[in-house]
Amino acid sequence: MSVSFKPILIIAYLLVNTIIVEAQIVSFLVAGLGELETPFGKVPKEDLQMTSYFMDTSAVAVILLDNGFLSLEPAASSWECNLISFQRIKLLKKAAFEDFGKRIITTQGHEKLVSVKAQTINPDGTITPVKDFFNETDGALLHKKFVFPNLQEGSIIELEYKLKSKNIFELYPWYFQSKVPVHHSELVMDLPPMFEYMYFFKGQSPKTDLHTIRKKLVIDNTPVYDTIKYNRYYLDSLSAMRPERFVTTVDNYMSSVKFQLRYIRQLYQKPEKILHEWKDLAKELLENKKLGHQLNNRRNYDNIWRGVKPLLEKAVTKEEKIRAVYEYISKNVAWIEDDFSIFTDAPNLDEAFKRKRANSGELNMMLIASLNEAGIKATPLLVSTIEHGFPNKEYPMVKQFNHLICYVEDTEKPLFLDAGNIHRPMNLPRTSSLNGAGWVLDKNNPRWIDIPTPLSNTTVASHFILQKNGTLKGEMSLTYLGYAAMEERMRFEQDKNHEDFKKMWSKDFPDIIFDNITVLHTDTAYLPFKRMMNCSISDFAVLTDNLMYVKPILKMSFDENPFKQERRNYPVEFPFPIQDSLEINLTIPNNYNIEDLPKDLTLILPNDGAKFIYTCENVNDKIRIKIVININQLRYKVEEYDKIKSFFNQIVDKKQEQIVLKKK
Amino acid sequence: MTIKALFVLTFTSCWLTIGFAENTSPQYPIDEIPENLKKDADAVIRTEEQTFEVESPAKATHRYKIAISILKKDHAWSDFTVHYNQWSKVTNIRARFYDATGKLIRKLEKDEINDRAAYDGVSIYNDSRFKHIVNTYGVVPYTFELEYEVKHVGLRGYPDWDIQPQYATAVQHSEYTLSTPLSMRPLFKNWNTQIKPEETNSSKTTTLKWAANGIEPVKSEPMSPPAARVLPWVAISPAEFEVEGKQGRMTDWMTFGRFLYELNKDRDKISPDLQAKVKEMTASAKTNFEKIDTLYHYMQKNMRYISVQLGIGGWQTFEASYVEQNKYGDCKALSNFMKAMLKVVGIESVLTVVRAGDERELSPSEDFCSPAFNHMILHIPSENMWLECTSTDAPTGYLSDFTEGRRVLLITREGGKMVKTPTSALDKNTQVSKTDIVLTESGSATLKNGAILRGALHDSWRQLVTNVSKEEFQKTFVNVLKLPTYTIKSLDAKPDQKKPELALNYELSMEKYASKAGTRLFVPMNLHNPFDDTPSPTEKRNLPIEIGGDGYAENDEVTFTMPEGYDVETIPTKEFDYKSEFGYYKATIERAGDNKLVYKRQLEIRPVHIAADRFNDLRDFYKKIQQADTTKVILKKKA
Repeated sequence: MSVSFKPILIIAYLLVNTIIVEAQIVSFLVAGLGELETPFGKVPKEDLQMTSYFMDTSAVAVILLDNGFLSLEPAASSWECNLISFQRIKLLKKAAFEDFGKRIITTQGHEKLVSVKAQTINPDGTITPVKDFFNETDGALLHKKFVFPNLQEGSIIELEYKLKSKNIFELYPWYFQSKVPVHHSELVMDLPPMFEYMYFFKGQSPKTDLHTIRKKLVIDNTPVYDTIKYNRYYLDSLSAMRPERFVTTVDNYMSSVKFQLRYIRQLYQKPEKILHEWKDLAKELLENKKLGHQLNNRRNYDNIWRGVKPLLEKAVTKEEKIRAVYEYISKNVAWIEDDFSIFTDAPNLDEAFKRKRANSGELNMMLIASLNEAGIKATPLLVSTIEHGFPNKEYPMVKQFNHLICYVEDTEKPLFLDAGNIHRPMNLPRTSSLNGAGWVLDKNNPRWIDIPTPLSNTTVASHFILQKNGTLKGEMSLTYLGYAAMEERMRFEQDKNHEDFKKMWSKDFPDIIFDNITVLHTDTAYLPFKRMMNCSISDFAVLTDNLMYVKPILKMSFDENPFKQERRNYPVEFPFPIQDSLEINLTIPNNYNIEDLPKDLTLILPNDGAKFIYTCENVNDKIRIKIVININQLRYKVEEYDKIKSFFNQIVDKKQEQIVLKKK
Repeated sequence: MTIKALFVLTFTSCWLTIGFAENTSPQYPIDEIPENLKKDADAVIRTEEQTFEVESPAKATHRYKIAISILKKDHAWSDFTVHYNQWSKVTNIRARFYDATGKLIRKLEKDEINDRAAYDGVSIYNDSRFKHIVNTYGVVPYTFELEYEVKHVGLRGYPDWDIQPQYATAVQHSEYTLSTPLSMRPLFKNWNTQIKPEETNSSKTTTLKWAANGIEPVKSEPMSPPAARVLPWVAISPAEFEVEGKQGRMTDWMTFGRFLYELNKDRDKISPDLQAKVKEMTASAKTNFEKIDTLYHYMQKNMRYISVQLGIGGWQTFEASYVEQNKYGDCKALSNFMKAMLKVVGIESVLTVVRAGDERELSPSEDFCSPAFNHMILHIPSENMWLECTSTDAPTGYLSDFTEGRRVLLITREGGKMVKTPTSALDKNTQVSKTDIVLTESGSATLKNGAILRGALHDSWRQLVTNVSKEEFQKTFVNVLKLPTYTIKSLDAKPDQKKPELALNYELSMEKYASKAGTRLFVPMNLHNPFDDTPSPTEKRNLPIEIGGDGYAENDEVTFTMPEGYDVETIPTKEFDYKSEFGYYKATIERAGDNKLVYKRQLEIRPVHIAADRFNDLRDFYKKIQQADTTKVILKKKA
């Protein structure tokens, strides 16, 4: 998206103001040229004396003030986005020094850190300014690093800086919350009316008002003060954000506002639409050099196609052809771990292929280009990964997408292809892709579709004989499907001699001996991965004169409750549904009778959200235990936390239960 | 540009192309690797060739080339870094990929070489940098070839010859040529190898050339000595060096220490105000220890650890006045600041460099001088005392496992003196605990534990409780204590101000402590502190077994109150008693009164240094302990 602004725009803007509201020219100039008065250095006494934050007495620090002043100002050839940021943070405990005692401000190529000042103010009022600032380049990034001096418990640190950015399509976002409590956070905005932005709010909605700001202008060496009213968004007394297990990204819940340019209005002209309709976005992306062009221009993937072509001749059905290409790409190009993108980083697809390493979008574009060349219609499906945040289906914002997968519609069942791992079959996207929905980048019919979440399935079947001396002997067969199969295959690839597999078991059972471990379907991702083995564990049962105690379950899908915290702040999110089952057939020594068996248990969460079924029965003097664990519902609200926590507690408890046998 | 000029240019470049035509014969084909090198190898160094040409104490050129065949997807060679700083410059980086047959597949493009700031893991700012080259290629096997040149105009050492730098890596060929002016013949020391250089002398220079061929890969194994004590390498040090105009010698510790002394002397001045304050604070102190204690606590309370490394700053401390003004500094700055305060009260102290970390065995050897340090502490000779000046919580004079029991270099006026820091014996690393567990019929329980932790067993708790928020502390506690889901009723950790000791007290309630089967309850005796360090079995152990540190001892007593109406049905084993050179374990279970059970457990784990063939002896001992720790008592409801 490159729209360059010519100086004429600025003139046009000034004209608008002259004609319509004269007063605004003044305020505009002030905004642009005047010096904003910030609270820097003006700390109220009570803040200096504060020893704990009344809203959260355990907080190690509190952000007392977090003020932003966001404005657009004309620059040489276009406009620039300015952010003046002021922060005042009270450090209540030493534990806060690590996180707040030093600071790194990072800028990218299109940005500039115009000014920065920082200081420490101690409870006795002593002010120590930061003097040493270190500049460090790191690839395309520039870091400004500094340390707050003279810290002690109770110190207040203040930081004020001004950032400039050439990106006016997306302004600097504002986060009202932080990992410590925030007492007051506000964003004041001075955006000229010719630019119309969309505002995207997350979390708690901020309050808004017209806020008076004082600015200083120096005219003929005399300071002149001006007060202007601006739009302000603010929130007070915000709680701390803390990451938790099974929450994909805290960002989804953090109170924030983001901006996207929608219209530019110029005098005597029709407003120029910047935030397009979905269709316009599709058109733009399909014409983009790093996306659409890569797919539409054979020059960019000619080498890849030459490798793909012979494979297609061998394949008969459409499905076979798709699979051949999918496997070819996954086998020949490694994914650069964690590198998600919807654009090419390499000069073109062929070059990425030659390097044999590619970002997620490049991989799938290779696939799409090849399939289209083969006459199979494949479309890019743009995705926001779960780590990137929930997708926003309402507005065509390109920034929300950070991953591109391949969507094939006109097969028997639609296919979701996400190349990059030979152990993931077609229709098993990266787990990061499972964020609910994706946007089909189709020229004529761009649209949102749901991304189905495939299952993860583990089935364990075992036959054991318990010997008179307490030794357990028998065979186990473990069958994996979906994501579980992928994980097991990846593990097996690194562990062909089953050494790590044995190690994992010997953690719990140091005496376990394995024999005849065999694996099935190691190199096709389309059949269940199976591992079969014989094993024996000596002293498995505890023996007394006439009793024998046996804990029959060796391992289960959830050996530990993943939810140990008492309270939960954010919803629980599972990436994909789980369907695990375990069956144990246990033959007991013939001189023993069954004295006691664990009780059956069935747990079902509302709407079949999750299920646990445990049965233990005596079948002709053999013991049969069957366990089913299903997790169907993937999201649980904070209010449902106790339910899911207790669900797992009961599962884990069941694993500990014992069988009692008595000598005949 | 005229047509003529254009022609000439075209011609020239054409000629150049011919002149430097690519060698099209296969390079490093995989099938030329001998079988014995390929077996168990993730990667094979086909050739490593380097020359280090020293012109003067400050100037040298390093030419380096490596070709490495990658055989497995998971290997330790994916990142190559070429470090540089303001006294060096990297040029001529070139990297290529060859396929299994030896065909050139591609060259690394310029945009694939990243220039980055060096992160040492602790510094907020460090002015050394590196070029980062990623060696990945989607399919294996393949060969990666890298060449570069580094020009130095300031030297703090010479590159070592790391013959076999990694586990699971074979070396087909490696060579190192080091030339220096005659008067500067370098010093070297062999580690895990008998290799000797070939020496040639010309009228002006000494040249040492080492070469090694056909070294088989070594598999990494748990509980083995650090790689530097297993794999072959040659440590190399300059006789003379110069950096930022400062000249030094690494011929022996005395001389090198003298250099460090000169670099760091007279940087211990603090303001008259602080001098007065120091005197005032210590005015009522009766002994030197009290003075030290007072000043050490003052520093702990007021200064914090922040590392900024600039230029020669890696070896030279910031001025004490800088720490005074900013209230922060790195290990050198804080040690030097402490030294400055002690000086005011007439206590002499000595800056001491140390190689800190888990692997105390890697501390430098007495007979070979090299700058193999990463930390600084302070020694007070008159009290024979050591101070860790970066700690905000350690009791005065306590070093911890981070720097204990290793050779360190005292930087005295006379020069460097190598001494050993004290070790804390096994009986100082202890845990003594008393636990009360009250069981109910349903298997739920309340647990009350009081423990005193000392020495190495207390370090991480002390650091945690003094440095993180209550909430964070609780979170870590929940992760460490592997009990079934519980609610914390109370949790408290109190470090002792004088001794390396901490009192840990907690009270929990658990919905399920004992599991129930009909009328029986299965009560685990030691859920809260089980031993679980048994190594997994291995078919053939190759490396010696080494468990460092000084060992530890635990002494626990748990009293169980049985639910009403229940009695003991079975105590499967009433006494466990295992003795070995590796340690000691004893656990007993006894009835006490009507409704109580008492479980007592003693555990001693000693440091281990044994040969590979004794692996199973150690494993058997550990296994017995681990199994004994899972013992359960079975209770039954009275009829």
